[in-house]
Amino acid sequence: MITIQSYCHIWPEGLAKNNLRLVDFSSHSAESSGEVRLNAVETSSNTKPSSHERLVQFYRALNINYPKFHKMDNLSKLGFLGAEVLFDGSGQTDSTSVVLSNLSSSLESDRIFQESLNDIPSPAQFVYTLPNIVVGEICIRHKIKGENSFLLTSQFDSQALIDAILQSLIFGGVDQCLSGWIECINDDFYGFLFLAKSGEGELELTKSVLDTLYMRK
Amino acid sequence: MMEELIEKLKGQIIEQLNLVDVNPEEVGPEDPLFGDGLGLDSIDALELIVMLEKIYGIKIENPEEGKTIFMSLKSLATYITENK
Amino acid sequence: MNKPAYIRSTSVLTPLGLGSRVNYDFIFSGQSAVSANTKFECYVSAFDNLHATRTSTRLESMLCQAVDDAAHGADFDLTKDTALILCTTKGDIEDLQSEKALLPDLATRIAKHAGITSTPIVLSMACTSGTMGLIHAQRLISLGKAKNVVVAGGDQVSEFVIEGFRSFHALSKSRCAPYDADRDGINLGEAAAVCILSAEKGSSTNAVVGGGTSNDANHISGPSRTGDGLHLAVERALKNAGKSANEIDFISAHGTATSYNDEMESKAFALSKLDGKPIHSLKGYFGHTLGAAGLLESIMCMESLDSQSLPASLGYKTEGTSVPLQVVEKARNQMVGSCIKTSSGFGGCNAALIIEKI
Repeated sequence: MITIQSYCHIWPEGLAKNNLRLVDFSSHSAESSGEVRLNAVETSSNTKPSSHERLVQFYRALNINYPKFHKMDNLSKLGFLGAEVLFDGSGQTDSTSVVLSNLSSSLESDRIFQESLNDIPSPAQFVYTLPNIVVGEICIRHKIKGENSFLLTSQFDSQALIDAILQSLIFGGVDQCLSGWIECINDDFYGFLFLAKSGEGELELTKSVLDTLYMRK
Repeated sequence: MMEELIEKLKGQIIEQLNLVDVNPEEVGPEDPLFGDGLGLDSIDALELIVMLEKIYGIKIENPEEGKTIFMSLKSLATYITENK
Repeated sequence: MNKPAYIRSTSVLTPLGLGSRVNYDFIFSGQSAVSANTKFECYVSAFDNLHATRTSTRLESMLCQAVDDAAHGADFDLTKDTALILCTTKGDIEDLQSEKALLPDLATRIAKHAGITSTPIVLSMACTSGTMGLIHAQRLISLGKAKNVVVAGGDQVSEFVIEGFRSFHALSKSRCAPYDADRDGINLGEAAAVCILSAEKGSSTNAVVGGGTSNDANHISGPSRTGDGLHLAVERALKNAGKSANEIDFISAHGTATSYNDEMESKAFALSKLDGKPIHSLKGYFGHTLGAAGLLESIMCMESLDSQSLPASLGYKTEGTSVPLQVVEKARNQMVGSCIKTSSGFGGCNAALIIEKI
């Protein structure tokens, strides 16, 4: 049996782990709603921050100290944040694989690099014109040498993910898999990441469970 | 002149390499930029080559030369002064 | 759990021509598709006269030609119980600014062309994509998730990629020389390749029997200095295939001809006790075809197994890695029963695949 141990959602207005908001950028304040929101952040500006700015705000709100974060493109920042929240400094990444997915690949970074062809192309920008770089960043941070994969599908495809997760657990000889969907395009982003683990648990990894979790935030 | 160039370079390097959380005051002119110093890596070295061409019009053909040129802010400033 | 995935048909389209055997015969005779290109100011392997049409993009046209050729050689109905995996890094790169740039859409168009009704997936893992496509296919078949799988891989030569590698100072000044002491970088290339695998043997002569992947967890663009990431992928592949290093007859390696990649591979093969095996890189013939590379080069391995021969590792003259490798210097007949195909790529990814004559 494969179960979902934990999951997180990241979108411009907030970041939640197992449905509990860790960072909140929504417009109503903690006081008026009566709820205590950890790391609720009041943003004074009326203009919507760019994806880049917002992802850095998440980084700061979560008190992460990893200077390389600032070199990453938005897609890598998004995946990195999700992994950070799920692994939670637990050091439990010995027996881990990574299977991530999205629709647009690294298109946002591709377009930026293409613009730079008119000037002097940047190697730091070029390296992010591949969707699997985010996997590399996560593996470096959490010292994961397990199997890894990046799938592109027309929409969130829970079956394709489950097949790939199962493969990595069985043939990769690991106990857990970091998986999910990280999409970053047109100055918007959405991340749904989860830790799937071999063994018994409350939330079984099935198509319907994943499809439901994907929508919930 | 050299000091001014070093200060200018500090800012340019911080911007070019996205060293967002680095305090410029903590980077000395002879501190190693690579390895233990600022912890720059091989991509940063290539980006510095791009920066040198973009801002100073100096083209480095062989990245291996970068090892000595980019050793510290001072060595970089010296190289720029000699090759502009 | 691990089952062989039988190779029912293959095809490749490169500037040397269309067809797996056609291409193999060319490379066995020492012919290369790599030449000096004035437009791109470097050596590449590129089609002279291949354009998008009103109804299909340039890459789509390349892939469809290879799909048609492979389908023609397949002795069963592709439209039933068949999955499609597309392996590519940049897809329709000329359409980046438009909606056409979405890679799953390209996969859908290829599936439609092949008459495949199931939802395709795209595997995009840098230069390991093609090898990973075959690994993914073999595992889908092993787990009973698909009866047949069409793995299609393709990428194009483009200013985008050339300038990207140029910014890394990674382009060779001439035709690349993998493992050679004087190697100075890569040549880019373009190709399409298709491999049709099945749980059923039919009249196949080869099978994919196991694979493994890994991440270096070291650097996003530089290969590991120790080779232990690739070594791990190789070990996983051997374990899944139920084979020892001893039983492998030759290595078709990644061999991009950068200083660091080839050096890393030599260390990895030593760790896996494969350094005594005949080894080649095919990058001197086809250039580095990115998402197609692992697939194209695996198909050339299958031709080696069928013809009991090994092509030369084009460009090699003198030993250039700290671990000495048995680089195949001249094309020759050789009794071969199994081989390992390895790939490594940006993002620290590694993939290894074992192909066996049956």
